[in-house]
Amino acid sequence: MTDVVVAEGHGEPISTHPDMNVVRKTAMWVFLGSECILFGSLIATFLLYRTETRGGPGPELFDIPFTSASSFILLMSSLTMVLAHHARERRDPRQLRIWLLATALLGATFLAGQAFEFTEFVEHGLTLSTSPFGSSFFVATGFHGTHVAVGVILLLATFFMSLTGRLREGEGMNVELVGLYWHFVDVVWIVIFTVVYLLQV
Amino acid sequence: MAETVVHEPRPHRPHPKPKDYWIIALILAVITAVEVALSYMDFLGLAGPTLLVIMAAAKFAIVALWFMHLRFDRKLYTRFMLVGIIGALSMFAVVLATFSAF
Repeated sequence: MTDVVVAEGHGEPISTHPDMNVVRKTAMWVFLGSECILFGSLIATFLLYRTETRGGPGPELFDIPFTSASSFILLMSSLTMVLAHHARERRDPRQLRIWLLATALLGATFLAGQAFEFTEFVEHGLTLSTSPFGSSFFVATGFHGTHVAVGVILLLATFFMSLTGRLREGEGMNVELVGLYWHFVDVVWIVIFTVVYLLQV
Repeated sequence: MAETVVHEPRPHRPHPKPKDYWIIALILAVITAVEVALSYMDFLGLAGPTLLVIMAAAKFAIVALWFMHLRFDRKLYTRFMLVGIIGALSMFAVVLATFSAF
């Protein structure tokens, strides 16, 4: 069975045309698919150098209870994000703003934890240039952290757009796209947490 | 001018409700707790890492299927995600094989 979408010129702006939502969402999925390969290469590089500590500190520095708490926070931010999306579907701007802000706060908390963790590692002598282990660890987790930071900015931008009434009726897709990006950041961390942390201790 | 785009739809499934999302989050939290506990169980030998990988894959699938709505959305999006995952796994194999890490 096929679902046929017919786009005809109705004189409406192309940015709000219903078909644009399909185009945007498809573009986001293509982007996320390519991101899988990027993170795959970063994690593969870490696996390659996981034992190359060159006499410096290695996985013994990992604080699993602390990182587990950070992982839990990021995992729960996926719940708040999907609740924000659900609120948008129900056209409930108040709930949308509450859950968007909660997601951004949880993301910021995760980032604060990562900054604390990185600081601890540097204080114990593990830096980007200490060893191949250090380089690959900081690049893989740092890249992920950068993605989280971008996600927090997107969430706050969406929150303020909603607050100032600039998230109009036809722009619900914005919340869905930000949500897809955010959930993707979460699934990448699921892999990093297991492969980089749990399997190394 | 008319433009025709053909899509393969999913069989209709009702989208989850907030209560379902909370239950899914609880399941994810429980799996994470078991993962952390497993990482301390050295006596499991090779079974430990195997179970950790299986549980990470399960969490990945749960988030992708329910929170990212792949279970309810167009199959095309699932294919893009699968291409990415296969690409990432191929990258793993090529990088590790090239540098004789196996």
